[in-house]
Amino acid sequence: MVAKIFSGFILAFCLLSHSLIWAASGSNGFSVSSSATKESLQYSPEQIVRFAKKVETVMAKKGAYVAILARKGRPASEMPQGMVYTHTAFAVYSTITTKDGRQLPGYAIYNLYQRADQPDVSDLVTDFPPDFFAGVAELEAGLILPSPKLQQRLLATITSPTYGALHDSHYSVIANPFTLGRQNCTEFVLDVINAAIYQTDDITRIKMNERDYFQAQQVNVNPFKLLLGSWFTSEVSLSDQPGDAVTATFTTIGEYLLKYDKGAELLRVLPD
Amino acid sequence: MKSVVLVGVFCLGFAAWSCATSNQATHHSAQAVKESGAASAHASGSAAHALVGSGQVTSAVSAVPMAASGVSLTTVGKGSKSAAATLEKAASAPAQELPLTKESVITVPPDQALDQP
Repeated sequence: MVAKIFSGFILAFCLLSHSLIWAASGSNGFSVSSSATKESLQYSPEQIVRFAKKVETVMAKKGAYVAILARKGRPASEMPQGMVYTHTAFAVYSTITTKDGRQLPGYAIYNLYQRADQPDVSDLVTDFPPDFFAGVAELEAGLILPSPKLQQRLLATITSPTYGALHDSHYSVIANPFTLGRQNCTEFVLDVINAAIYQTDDITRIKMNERDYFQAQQVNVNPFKLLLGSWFTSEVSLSDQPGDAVTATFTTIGEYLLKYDKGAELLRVLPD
Repeated sequence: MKSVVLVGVFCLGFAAWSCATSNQATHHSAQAVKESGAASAHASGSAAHALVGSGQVTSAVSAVPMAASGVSLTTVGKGSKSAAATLEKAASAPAQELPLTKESVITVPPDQALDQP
């Protein structure tokens, strides 16, 4: 009897160690603000500043008032199958006031970031391109340029109370875009996009339209590992996943806009 | 009893292997961080602090979205009817290159923000 309990305990330990590894290595580095982490840079400040300015320049040359921007917070080899970028946000052309009182034209980034000390909670944070790219694993940006019409609607939504109202601070790294209760950066971006497209702040209507027209990404992680990960890691939740786990990604948002937003462009920006 | 011990030994071995193999990637990335950090003058602080320390960035205190025709839109629902009309008008205009500062701007680090009056 004691031996059976012992072997059961060992087996549970074995499975747990396997699942926790995914949770720890798979989710860290997704929607965390670079200013909130204690990570050092993987690229020199010069490389990050130069690359961030290149991304800004691409957007400005395209005349983009609002763009959707993605970064690679983890190396491709550590990403689940089908996922390329770890964090997605809006870049908004703005008048920036510096600490010494000057006003400069540039881009501000509108993010949903997980809290570093409470990974299952998120905040809406505005920062700037070098902040956004500091600490990335690879210097590469995904960029969606919506049509001018959608850009203007996005601008109207982002500068309205709807933007904040669409935020759900209960974070899950694999949040289901079709349900409520958990949200990650990409689901939030998708919700804002659909609020702008349909010019509504009605989240029920937004979710209904997303279920009808948006194609989510299957989370290609062993379901058992996912389950154990959700038990032991607060930022992985299955509470909003009624069936097979699905989530929104930068790539699926790009496909959605290329299909339904005539004139939208999808770009990849690499360093010089 | 013997089979139970064998199962136990196998599970322990598998657990150890799991830890070793899956920590490999983490170890590699940690090593990469360490190595690239060594090339950075400010590796000990956060990424944002390293950027501030590089002297290549300017700290910003605020950003206000700008609409076409240069109208600044105040955030959180203060856009006026005229601004909304401007937005609609701009949506049909062809995209033109936007002026962009050559400076690189970042958020003010918390310690510096606390120093401000």
